[in-house]
Amino acid sequence: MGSYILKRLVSGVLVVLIVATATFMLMRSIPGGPFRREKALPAAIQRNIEARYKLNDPLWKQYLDYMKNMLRGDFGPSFKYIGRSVNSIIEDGFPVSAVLGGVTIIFSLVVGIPAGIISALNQNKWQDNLAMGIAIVGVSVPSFVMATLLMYVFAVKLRWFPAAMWGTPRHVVLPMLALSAFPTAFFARLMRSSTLDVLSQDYIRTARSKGLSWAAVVYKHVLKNSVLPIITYLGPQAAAILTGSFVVESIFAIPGLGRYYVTSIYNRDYTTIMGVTIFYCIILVALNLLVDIAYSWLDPRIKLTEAKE
Amino acid sequence: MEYSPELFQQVPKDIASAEAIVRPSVTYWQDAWRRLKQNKMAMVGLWTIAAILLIAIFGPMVSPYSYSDQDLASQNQGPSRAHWLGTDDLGRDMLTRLMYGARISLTVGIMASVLNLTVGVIYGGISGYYGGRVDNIMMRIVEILTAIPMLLYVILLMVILEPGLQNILIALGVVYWLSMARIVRGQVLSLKEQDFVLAARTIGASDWRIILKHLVPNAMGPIIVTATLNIPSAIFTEAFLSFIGLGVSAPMASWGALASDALQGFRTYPWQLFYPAIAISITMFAFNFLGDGLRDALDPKQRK
Amino acid sequence: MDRLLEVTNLHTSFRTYAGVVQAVRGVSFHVNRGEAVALVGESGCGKSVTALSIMQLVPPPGKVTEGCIAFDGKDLTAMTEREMQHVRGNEIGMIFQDPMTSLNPVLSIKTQIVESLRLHQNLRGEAATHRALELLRMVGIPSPERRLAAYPHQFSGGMRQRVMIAMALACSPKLLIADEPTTALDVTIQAQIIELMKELKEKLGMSIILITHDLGVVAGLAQRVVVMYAGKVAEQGTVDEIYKSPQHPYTWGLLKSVPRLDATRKDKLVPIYGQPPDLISPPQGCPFAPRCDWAMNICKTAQPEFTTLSDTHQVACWLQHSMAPANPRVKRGGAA
Repeated sequence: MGSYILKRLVSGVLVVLIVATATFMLMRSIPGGPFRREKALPAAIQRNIEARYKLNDPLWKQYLDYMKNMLRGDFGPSFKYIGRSVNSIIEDGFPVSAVLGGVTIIFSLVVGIPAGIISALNQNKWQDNLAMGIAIVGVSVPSFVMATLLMYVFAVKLRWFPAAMWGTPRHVVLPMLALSAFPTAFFARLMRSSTLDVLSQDYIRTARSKGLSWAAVVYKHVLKNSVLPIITYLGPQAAAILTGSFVVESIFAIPGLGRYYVTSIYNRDYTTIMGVTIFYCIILVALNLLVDIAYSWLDPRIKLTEAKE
Repeated sequence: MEYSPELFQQVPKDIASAEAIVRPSVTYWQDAWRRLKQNKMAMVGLWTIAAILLIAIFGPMVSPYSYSDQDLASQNQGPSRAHWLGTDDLGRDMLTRLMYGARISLTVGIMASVLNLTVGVIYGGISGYYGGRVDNIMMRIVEILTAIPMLLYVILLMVILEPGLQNILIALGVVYWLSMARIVRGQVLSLKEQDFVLAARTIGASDWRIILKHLVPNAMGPIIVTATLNIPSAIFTEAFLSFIGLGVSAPMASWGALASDALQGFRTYPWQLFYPAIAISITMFAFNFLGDGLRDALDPKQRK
Repeated sequence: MDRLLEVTNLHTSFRTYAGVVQAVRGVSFHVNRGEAVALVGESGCGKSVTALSIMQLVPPPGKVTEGCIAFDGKDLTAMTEREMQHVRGNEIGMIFQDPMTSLNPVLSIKTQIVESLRLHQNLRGEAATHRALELLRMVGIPSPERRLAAYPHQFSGGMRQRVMIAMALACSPKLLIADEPTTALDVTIQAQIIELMKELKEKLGMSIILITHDLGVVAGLAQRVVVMYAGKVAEQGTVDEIYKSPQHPYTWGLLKSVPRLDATRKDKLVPIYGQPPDLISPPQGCPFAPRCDWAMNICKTAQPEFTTLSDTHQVACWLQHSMAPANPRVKRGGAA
């Protein structure tokens, strides 16, 4: 078990290094270099950047410098905002985004998993049709459509919730709903199909032949098996929520990292794009690592394959 | 009942009828098509897609306006006889722009899916077919790429490449072939152990022939499903990119760009946002319904 | 003898899109206390469905449509689901064909064994663990103390089937239904499992229904054999009667297709040509007629009645009729 975690940790670090390198190379591949593109850079920033990035150094030296700084947790200054560092942008924005992302993923699990189970246990009955009908809306309507629609109905017309900004729990509701539509629907559909799959397994018949009631079979034998696929998709869904947060935070004017990221894209704030991209990758890789550990803890078969090696 | 001697006359054994297959044999594809037709939602999806395709192809041709015709005298109008869906902030006809948007969104969706299909089938086919060390290395690469949030790299690529239809396709194609490669590999791995591949081998078929003539057709079901479901996610990604300002360049406009443009005047002219939103949603519905239907129809496990 | 189980005129059907599949069409047989009965036939003949009908576990869209299953004086078909839950695992244990897929992969075998102890005998904690160890020892799992907390994937196929048997016998049921318990196992392991079941039957005095398509497996364990074909009983009798003087052409075919050690060179293995009939529209005559070397005109039009040859031996075949042509193998009982 320990060696398994260590192995995943090493591969996680490797992925981050690859990502950072790729990001650095991509940004440097912009014709003319990212820092010389704009015609008239404010002199202060120009000097700052020259000093900071040593643009006259050879590429490999620039790369090593960037990596060294990154490993110290320093993503350098913003390319657009005088006196702001990428770190301070992350420090400002990330806590907000983390709260929004956290409630979103909890909401989508708490709603999606039971919905999927109920659907599977009532296959092709009205509960199933209703839940899966809603779920297909959830996976079909893009988050920015969902966000604007929710805003129009519940903030502009009904005035039940604030249309923008951040601060109170009431501010969280609409963005969370917009953001969780897809993952909730996704988890519900996944949970339904994995539950149906588990229900058709031989060991369910075995459990029934022992005299367990249907409810006990579902609780003891179905759930633990059928929830496993959900765990494997937690990582990818977290990534989807993260990218969804770009538009949802922009629409609801939430001062989160996603909105800053989109702004930095509009402004071609290259250092911020680069730093935040790498930061996001670190977060997601760490999350995937946690998910893998959780999975190996829940599925006894994983341990064996590792022990064999 | 009365028994007569002739009832007890022996009759020759009727091997032919005993060997006859009792139910009419249906091929895999006939059976899949039958089940797809039974699935109402999938058929609705199929017809909707056909309708959207027709509108995208012929709509702009019959429209009296072009997507870039500005009419500053009639800005932000509501629906009228001249402009069925109204006009935008530059007085451009919404309906025409919407139909042009359909062209872009569908082109992106279908082309990206074809691109992913090609890359994924080749990569996954090679990996699964050769197995062993080749497979190990190739799948390790996929594993690493999967751990990277790809949409971030689409964004990064778009920042570098500058917006434009061709570049969107490149970015999507470079990045979204992973799941296809994995599915193809899994199919090939399980199929290549089967006897018909061995049979093809023994009569001296070449590797490429076996991959293209035997493995790919047999792995077709899951591949078609994945390709179909890749179309809405590509459309979705394009809309997303356009929405954050990385889509096709103005005055061309995809649905995502139309929605993004409409966001500023959203409180006053909400319909400008609703049209592209509805168009995207309907298209996504249609492809998702069709994809789900295809999955149910092509999944041999569900065959009864 | 004392009858533990009596199945009378059992009908079980599956409603599919193509039509109603009549998987079991009027099966009757019985099992005495302490006796092992084999249900034999090729795949699709309805033997597994019969077993699942006894357990009231026929998967949907299947349903027992007619008939009576008397177990220990109670009719199982009339029981509520709750009452049935008390019977399953407690009075009737069941083991299945594939031990690889029949155990839950994410639960330790201890959890899976203790489950029925807790449910039916209210055993918990130490007592339950103790009983689980005893069961594992009984089915011949080496060093059970170390294996108790293990997961199914850590056992070989044969060991898993032993675990399955331990689970099924946890509450000392009166009847054990074994649905092709050896089919998925290696030949050497097959013999061990049959030997184990035989041993446990003597020791615990339970009855067994052994479902198999392999007549070779039957002789080692069962006292009586019920041969099924196309959802009906073709012939039944003691092991001696079935092996030494089989009366149904289908039984002849089954016996000829089993390799035997005492066979001489000229006794070739002969397959039974053809396929069983489609049970959506079963033939009105004898279902085996199209594949039968001795088929007569009447076989195609009328279903033969049972002829009783001895207290234990019955056969449903027109060759038993006095007007049928003589056949050296047929020993006629009473008039048809």
